[in-house]
Amino acid sequence: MNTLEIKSLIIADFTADVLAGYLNNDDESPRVKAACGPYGQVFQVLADETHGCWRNEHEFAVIWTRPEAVIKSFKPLLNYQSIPPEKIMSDVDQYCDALLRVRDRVRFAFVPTWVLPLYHRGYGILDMKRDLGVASTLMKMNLRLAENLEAAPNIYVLNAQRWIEAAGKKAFIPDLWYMAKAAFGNEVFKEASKDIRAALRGLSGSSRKLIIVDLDDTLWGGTVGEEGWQNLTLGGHDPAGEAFAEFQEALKSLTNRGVLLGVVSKNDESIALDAIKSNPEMVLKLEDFAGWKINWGDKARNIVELVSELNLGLQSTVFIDNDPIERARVREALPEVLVPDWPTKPSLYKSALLGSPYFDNPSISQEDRERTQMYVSERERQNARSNLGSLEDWLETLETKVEVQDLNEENLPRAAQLLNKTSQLNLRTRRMTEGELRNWIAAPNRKFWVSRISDRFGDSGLTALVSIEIFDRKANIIDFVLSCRVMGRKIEETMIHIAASYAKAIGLEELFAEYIPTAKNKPCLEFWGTSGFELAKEHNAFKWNLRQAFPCPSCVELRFYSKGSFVETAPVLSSASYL
Amino acid sequence: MNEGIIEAIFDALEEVNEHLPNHWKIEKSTQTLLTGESSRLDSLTIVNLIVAIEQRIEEKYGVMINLASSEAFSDQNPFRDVGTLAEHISSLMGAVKP
Repeated sequence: MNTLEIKSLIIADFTADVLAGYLNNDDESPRVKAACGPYGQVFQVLADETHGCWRNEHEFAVIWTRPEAVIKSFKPLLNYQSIPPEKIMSDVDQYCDALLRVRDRVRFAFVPTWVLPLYHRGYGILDMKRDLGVASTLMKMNLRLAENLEAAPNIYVLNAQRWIEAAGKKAFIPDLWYMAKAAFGNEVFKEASKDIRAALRGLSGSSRKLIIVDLDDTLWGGTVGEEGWQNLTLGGHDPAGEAFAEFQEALKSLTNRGVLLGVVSKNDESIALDAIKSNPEMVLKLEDFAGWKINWGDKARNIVELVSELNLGLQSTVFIDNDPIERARVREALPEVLVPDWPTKPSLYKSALLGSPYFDNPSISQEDRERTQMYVSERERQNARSNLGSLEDWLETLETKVEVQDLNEENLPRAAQLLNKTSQLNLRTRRMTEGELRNWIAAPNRKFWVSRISDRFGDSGLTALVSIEIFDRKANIIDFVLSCRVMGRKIEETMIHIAASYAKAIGLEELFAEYIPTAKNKPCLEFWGTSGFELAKEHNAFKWNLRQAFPCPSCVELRFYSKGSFVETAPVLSSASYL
Repeated sequence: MNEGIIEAIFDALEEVNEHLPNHWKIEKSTQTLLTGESSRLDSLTIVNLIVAIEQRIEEKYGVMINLASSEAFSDQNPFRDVGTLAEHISSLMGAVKP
């Protein structure tokens, strides 16, 4: 996914060149080079892995069909014939079997749900009757499609009905069908392109992770410094007040998807924080924010500082402000920050936020849902640190626990997510799908450990991983990945200790780590430079002689688990993975 | 009326350009050739353009016109360039009252 252009193949039973055009013309990263497969040959292309279409090694495919074209028994149902529902479901299953064949030919595949033209009213009053209605049957078919395709974790079903609704009257244009065999209007293809690009951003770990909001006239109506928190327009029986409250609710809802919230506002900090704490209509509380910069300084500078404090990148950030001048300033100073045009009416704030396609991710883990709490814990941790002397003293007070497991089916999705989303403390920045990771660890000369980190302030979740590959009595660290949330707490040394202890225990002599530089992983090089490893002859490679143990930091309590049960405080020595 | 029609055609060209490759973008000029040997537009693009223009005319003037009728593809070829197309649309609109 790090290539400059992602090749893709569109397989459809209608003319889909316009979709390819929209995908190709978007300059945002990742760039896409889409091509269409032969018209009307969906089954042939799916069934035949040697078909010429597959020669170009496409990274992803879009397989978009009309239900009446690929589900044989659905066409007569459209003509109001009585068709046994089990016959239709059997045809859906058969089509899904064909779809599942692409899972090994591309890294990802996207399958839009089936839709019908808006003019088709089905049975009208009876159309939601079970086993009779066209609409009710199509809903069941789509559910079956989604359930069947769950067998392939790299195939994603996209909701095409949303595209149809967004396109409205322009969704189906008969002339386009009769003259060009294009099943949909351009607006549908444009919406589809947006969703596919959002999916690609999520799959490549480049979705946005942080929303920074302004306060006055963005989070509430009015200027708190002048009017006081008691007089803000927020909540209550007031159209604008309700709109601001619902916008806050929408922001809060995104934290359940792992998105962090921050504030950058020109205000007196004490007055603004007092408003957040004291106004009873505030939906967002102080603990919903990962951080804030509230002062009279330049917002662009404050954004840089806040993003840095949260250990995130500007490319992960969205900035929302009602003031077009502030937006223009941030856009110009920080082009990596996404600054959406913002509606002038508060009633449109919620829809502008929930309609933005920048927060999609291929999975949602418990760590995502609890991310804000983890940052709040970090804030408390830092406050505690400021009351103590040395770093070592502070680390000793944290009561850090590292719980280690081999990679297994339960932790695989989160491990893949961590691998794909972490940029800073990442030795080689390998990006792999769950399937690719599963295949990689199947080799007997490889080990992969994941770690859950907690301390007295809270649980940071599964936030560190390390893997090794063994050749010629030497172990090479392949992945060394830590979430920025646990950086600098001796977890780095603990992960090396795990790998080194294992390698030493099975009689190996040397442990190597080769650093592959990227634009973002310099913190990783800095750590390895101070790790105690010897800089090997090869550029950016580090070496440890295993005659000497690599100690576990004294401030860390290390525990190993196997299949959910505590096993021992030494590495699990079984070489076979239990995937 | 022709100026308004040309504006509608230009709007339609913008919509079509959104999904055309950079080297195929259609210039917004009354002299731009749409069909014939010197035109680079393929049939799918022409169909898209016809539909987009019909939509713009309907939105702007409340008149539904049929650009794809067989008469449109007569010897006179109203699709030769943007200018001739605007004249053709004007005559169609004169015939069809809103």
